[in-house]
Amino acid sequence: MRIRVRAFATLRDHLGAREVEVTVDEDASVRAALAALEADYPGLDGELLVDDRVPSTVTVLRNGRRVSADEPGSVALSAGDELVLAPPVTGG
Amino acid sequence: MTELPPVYGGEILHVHLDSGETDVEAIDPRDARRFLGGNGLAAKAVAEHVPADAGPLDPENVVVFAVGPMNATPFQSTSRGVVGFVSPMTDGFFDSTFGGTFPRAQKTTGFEAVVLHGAAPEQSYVSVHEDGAEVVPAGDLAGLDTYETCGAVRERERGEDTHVAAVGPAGEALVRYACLLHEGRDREGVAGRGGSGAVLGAKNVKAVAVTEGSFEPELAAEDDLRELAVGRTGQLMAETEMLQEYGTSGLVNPINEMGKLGQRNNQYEQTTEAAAEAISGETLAADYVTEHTTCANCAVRCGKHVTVEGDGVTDAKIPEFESLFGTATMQEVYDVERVMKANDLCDRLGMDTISWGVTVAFARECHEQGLLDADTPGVAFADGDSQRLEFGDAEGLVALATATADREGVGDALAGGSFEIAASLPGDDAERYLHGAKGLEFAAHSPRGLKGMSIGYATSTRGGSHHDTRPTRQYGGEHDETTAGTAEFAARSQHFTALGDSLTQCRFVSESGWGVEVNDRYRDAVNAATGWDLTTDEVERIGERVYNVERAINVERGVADRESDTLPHRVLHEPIPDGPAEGMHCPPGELAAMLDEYYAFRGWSDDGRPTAATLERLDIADVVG
Repeated sequence: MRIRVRAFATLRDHLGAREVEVTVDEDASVRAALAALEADYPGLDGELLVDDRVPSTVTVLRNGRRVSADEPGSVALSAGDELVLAPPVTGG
Repeated sequence: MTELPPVYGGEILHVHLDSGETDVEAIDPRDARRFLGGNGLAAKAVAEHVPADAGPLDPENVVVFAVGPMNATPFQSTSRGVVGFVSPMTDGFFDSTFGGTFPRAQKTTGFEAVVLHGAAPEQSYVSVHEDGAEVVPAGDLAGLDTYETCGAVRERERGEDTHVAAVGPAGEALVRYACLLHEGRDREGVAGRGGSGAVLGAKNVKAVAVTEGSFEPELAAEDDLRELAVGRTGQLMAETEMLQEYGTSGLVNPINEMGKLGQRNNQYEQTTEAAAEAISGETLAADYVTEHTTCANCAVRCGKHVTVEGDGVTDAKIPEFESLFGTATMQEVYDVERVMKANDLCDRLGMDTISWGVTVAFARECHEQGLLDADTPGVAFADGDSQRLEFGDAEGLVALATATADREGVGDALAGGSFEIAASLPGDDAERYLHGAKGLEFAAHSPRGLKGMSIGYATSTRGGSHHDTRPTRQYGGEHDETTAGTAEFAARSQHFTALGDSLTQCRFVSESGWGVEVNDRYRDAVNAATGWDLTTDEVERIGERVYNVERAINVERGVADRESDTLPHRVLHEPIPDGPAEGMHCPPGELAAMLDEYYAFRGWSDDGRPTAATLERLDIADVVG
C-alpha cells in the first residue's frame, strides 16, 4: 500500500520535497515506512531510525498522533494513513 | 557561604525616578544562594518594595531589570534578562524575559539588578552605567516607536556601547499589555508579556539604556564549566536545527498537524494544510527571510529578519510562533504578508502580540455573537470598526493594531485586554469566549489538548503563560493526554522554568542542550560558576522557592487562590470539535482533582495558599511570611 508522507522544516530539506508517497507491505509498521523512506531518499539516510528507535531530533506523527519514539515497530499502518516527519516540537 | 561568589557583580542599583537619586545595595550572599539571580532577585525585590495595595500603574510599583549569575560567561545563552513588576494584566507578580545584548551589557556594569522606583516628573529615559544611573528628561522622544527610541537614545549616550530597551506609543498610552523592545546589535529582544511597557509608561520612562562597563564575572571552575558547555554543544545544535533555519515559526505546521493550534478564537484547533503552510516557517524562510540573527553568546541564531517588498516591512523581526497564533490562526487570517505587517506594527508600537492578538480574536467573537457593536454601552466604535471585527479580515487586523495604540474607536477597548472588555460588557455572556487565565491571554499551547497545560495555566503565577509549565515534554508524549501524575509534573516544570529564568538561560538552549527538567548538568554548571556544593535537589529547590515567593505575593494581593486557579468556559466545557485531538478538554471535576494533587504536592492549603510550614521549609518566611 502507498502511504502519504509529508515533511516539515529541516526534515523537508532532508527529504527534498514537501510530500512523497512511500510503498510498504499491507500491515507494515511505521518503522518499516521509515526504513523505506531512508532507503528511497538519500537525504534521510540515518535521520529517521537509530537502533530501530526514532531519534530525539525527529518527531513522527501518524494521522496527527505522535508515534512513540521507542516503538515505531509496534504501530501498524493502514491504507489511507498519513505520516508527518517534523523536527522536535518545543514550547515556543 | 559567607562571601558572594565573584561570578556576581555584587550590587543592586536602586533608581528613584522622582528625585533622580540612586542608592546601591550589596547582594547578601545568602540571597544569592536562595534566589540565584534574574527571576529570583526580581521576585524578592517586588516582595520587598511593592505594597500589597499598590496598583500596577501606581508609582509604588517597581520595575526590576535583573540578570543571572552566569550572564557574560561561556555558559551557553545565559544572555537573557528579566523584567519583574506587578502586572497590569494580572495584578500579580510578573517576570518577562528578553534576549539580545542589553542583559550582557547590564552584567558588565556590575549591577545584577536595577530597580526603578516611583515615577519621573516628566518623560525621561534612565541611563545606567557602571558608576550608577541618571534620569534624563527626554520629552522629545514622545510618540517615537520602539526602534526609533532605541536609536535616538543610543545617539545621546555612547552609541554602539549603549544598549536600549524602549517603550513604544502603546506604553505611553497605557495599553495594558504594552511591552518593551530592545534593539540589539544584531537582533531584537522583546519583553513581551504582562505589560511592562505600561508600567514604565505610567512612570514616565520612555527607555532604559545600559552602557557597557568593565565588570568581568569570575568563574569558580572555568575549565569545568567550559568542558560542560562544550559537551552539550553537539546535542544542542542537533536538536535546534529547526530553530536555526526557521525560528519558532517552524512550529506552526507540526502543531497544527496535531490538531492543537487554536483557530478563530479557539473555536476549533486545526486549520487546513494549505492555510497552515501559508503562514508557516517554511513559507517565511522561502519567501521573506533576509537574514538570521542571534543574541549575545548564542550559536543557535533562532532570530530572523523578514522583508515584505513594497509594504513598509523591511528587515523586521520575524513573527514568532506564538505571534502567528495570536495574529493569524486565532483571527482566521492566513495572509502572511498582512500578518507580518501587523506584527511589525505591534513591535514598533510596543504591544504584546499574544495578548493583543487574542484580545482582537475575543472581540471578534463577541462581535459575531452580538455582544460588541456600535451600540454597545460604553464602547467607542469608529467608522469601519464593525468590518474590522470580522474574523478573516486581514486589512482590519492591521488597522486595529494602530487603533489600539492610538486608543481610537474600538481600539480603546482593545487596549484594555480581553478580560477588561469582558468585565465591561453587560451580563456575563462574553466570559464564555475568553481564552486566558488570571487576566492574561493564553499563549499558543492548547489548554484543551495538553493536560499539563490545563493545570499549568490554571496555577501559573503569570496567568496564561507558556513559560511557567512548559509544553515541550507534552509534545513529546508526556502528560499530554493523561492526568496521572500531571499535577506534579506541572509543579516541577514550574520549578524548572523559575530556575532557568533565575539563571537567565534561554529556554530553547536549556531544553534542547541541557535537559527539560532540573538535572545533574544544571547542578554541575551552577556549582562550577559559583563554587557552591549544591545537590541537584537543592538546585530544584531554588526554583521552587522562587515560585513560592511569586505565589505568596499574589496571595497577599488577593489574586491567587483556588477560585482564581481556573480555566475559561470553553476549556472547561467545550471539547475540541474535530481533528486528531477531538473531544479533549478539561472538565471542572478533572481540574479540581488536579488542583487537589497540585496543592498537596506543593504543601499549600486546600485554598491554594503556601502554608507557614512550606515557607519555613523553603527559607522564605522572612521575605513573604
